[in-house]
Amino acid sequence: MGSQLSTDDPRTESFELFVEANEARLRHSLCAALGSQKGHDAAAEALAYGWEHWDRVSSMDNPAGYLYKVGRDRGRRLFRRERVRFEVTRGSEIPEVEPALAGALADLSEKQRVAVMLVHCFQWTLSEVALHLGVAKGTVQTHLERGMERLRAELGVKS
Amino acid sequence: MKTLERQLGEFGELHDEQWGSIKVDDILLTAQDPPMELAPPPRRPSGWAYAAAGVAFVALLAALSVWLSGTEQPVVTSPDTPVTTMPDATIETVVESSGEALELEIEWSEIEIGDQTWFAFDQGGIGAVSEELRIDVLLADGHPITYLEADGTYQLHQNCFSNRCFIWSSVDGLSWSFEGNQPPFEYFLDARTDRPMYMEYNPRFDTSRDDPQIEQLIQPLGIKFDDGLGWQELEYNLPIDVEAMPESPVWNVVAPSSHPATSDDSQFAFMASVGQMHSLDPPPLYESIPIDRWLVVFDGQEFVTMDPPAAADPRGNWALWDLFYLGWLGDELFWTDLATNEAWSLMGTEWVPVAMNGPLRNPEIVDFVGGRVFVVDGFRETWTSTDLTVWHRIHGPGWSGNWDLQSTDFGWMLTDQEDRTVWISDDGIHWSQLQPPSEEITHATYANGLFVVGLPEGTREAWIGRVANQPGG
Repeated sequence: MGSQLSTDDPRTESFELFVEANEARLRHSLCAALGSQKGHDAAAEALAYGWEHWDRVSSMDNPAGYLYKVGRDRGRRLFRRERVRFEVTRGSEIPEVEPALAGALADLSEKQRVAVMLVHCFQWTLSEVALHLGVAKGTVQTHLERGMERLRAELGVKS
Repeated sequence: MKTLERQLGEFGELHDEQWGSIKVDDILLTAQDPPMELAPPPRRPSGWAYAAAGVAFVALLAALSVWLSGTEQPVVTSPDTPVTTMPDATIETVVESSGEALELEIEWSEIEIGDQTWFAFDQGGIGAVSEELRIDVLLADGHPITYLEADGTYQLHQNCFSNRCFIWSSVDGLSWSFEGNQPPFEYFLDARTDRPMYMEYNPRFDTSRDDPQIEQLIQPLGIKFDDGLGWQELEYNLPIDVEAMPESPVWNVVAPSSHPATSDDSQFAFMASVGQMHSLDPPPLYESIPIDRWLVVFDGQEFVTMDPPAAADPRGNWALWDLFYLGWLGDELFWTDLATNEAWSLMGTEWVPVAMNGPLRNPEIVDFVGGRVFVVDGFRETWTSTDLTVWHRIHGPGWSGNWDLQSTDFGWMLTDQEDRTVWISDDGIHWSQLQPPSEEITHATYANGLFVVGLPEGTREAWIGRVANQPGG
């Protein structure tokens, strides 16, 4: 272990700034793709990987998007047979959140779930999602609409 | 009642509140020191030298085509040839081991030695993936060397091209290559896009239908290889509009001209197809309805898209792709259609029928390996030929068709998965059985004089050894 916590190290400082700006995005997107626990673990793994390879990762055009793919791949590998689950145990404090919402989200396809959760749960714009995932904005829009349509059908809501 | 959008927003807030953020200090404290990153190998820009070589190659192909078309050989069936048992074709070194298998998406054989799961490259080296997902490589002399920083983020694939083998990551484009099994290793990154570079000529993107990266992965198909003179970079764009494809296209590359691990030159051909998934009742059964397909031939210099033999596709059903086999014999590309027992040879841009019906009766298995074609017919008789016209019948190996056949520096090696025997040959006709210390073989690989023989899963045993007296030696 080196002295990575030395903030006067430009490399460390650069990584810290990156984490400050992108940790939430990475965690949100991986939780959307993999579920709460898996996504959280995968985000930590991806950030660790990013730090280990920071010289290379930092020079990329879209390091957060890159680490998302790293984390997603690692999460899939580690939790291949496990179902996507969202664990929010304090839902009773917000009684108007439909109890079946977490399960309905888990039942969406990964593409649809990521689009729905990033846009509506975590307030990303379509462009931000598209950039992060490396897909066209129209693709995100399509997955979002289909995901919302399926959620409404699943939960029996009209709007 | 809140709207669905508002419920989702509050769900996100609750999720954030419960799961919290990841602290950078935790990352810095738990991460390992960053490894030294190797400099990429020098790139050799493609240019006029390749263009000139390409023209010469095409001219050579044309000349061969003219010559071959005028010298068609009659079908000749040679007398049956007995098995020649070569002395001392036995494993002389035994390594018994135990360990716990890892579930890895790697395409080479895995065996277990000690606390590591080892794999054997079909050509060029023998390596291992340990529990830490580091890669170790065992040199042909048996000495292990520790490999680089390949950790669990990598989906590793391996392939061999012009006697150079590659492993690479489909995640970040990092790749390593080596020639034979000799270090030093090299890696390179696709500097243009920072995205995966697919060097395999048998790209397997058929399972990517749920993968949002599909648009990035398939267009273009990047191929990079070392032709012995330097690095070549190639791009091939499938003649399609990806955006116009259905939401869940099913990509497939079928009928590759040879198994990646057994290719001994830079020529290859494959058929790329795209289809649409349709659910069947009951789910989750589904079927893929073909939409379009392309035959792609790489002649060593450039990709050429062409049509398959017109007569080979009377059914128009490309779902029957497993009835077609593409293969090179020398510089000649053959297309075989087992449904009709017909074959064609590519002469320039024309497909010329080739008589393949001589000794073959209802051929079921066709395998082009190392300049020979091996066929199992409907009567479980096995034949081999170098030109599809003169055939030799083979005795010895089980030849169930359930085999792993690979070319080696001494000839060919076959693992018969059905009767679990390993056979070696220096001419493809005469075969002798390898004598490993077990009758429970699941797979065997060979690299530069070293055999690795594995046992069924659960027994956790494997053997490594050399053939004391190699065929042809």
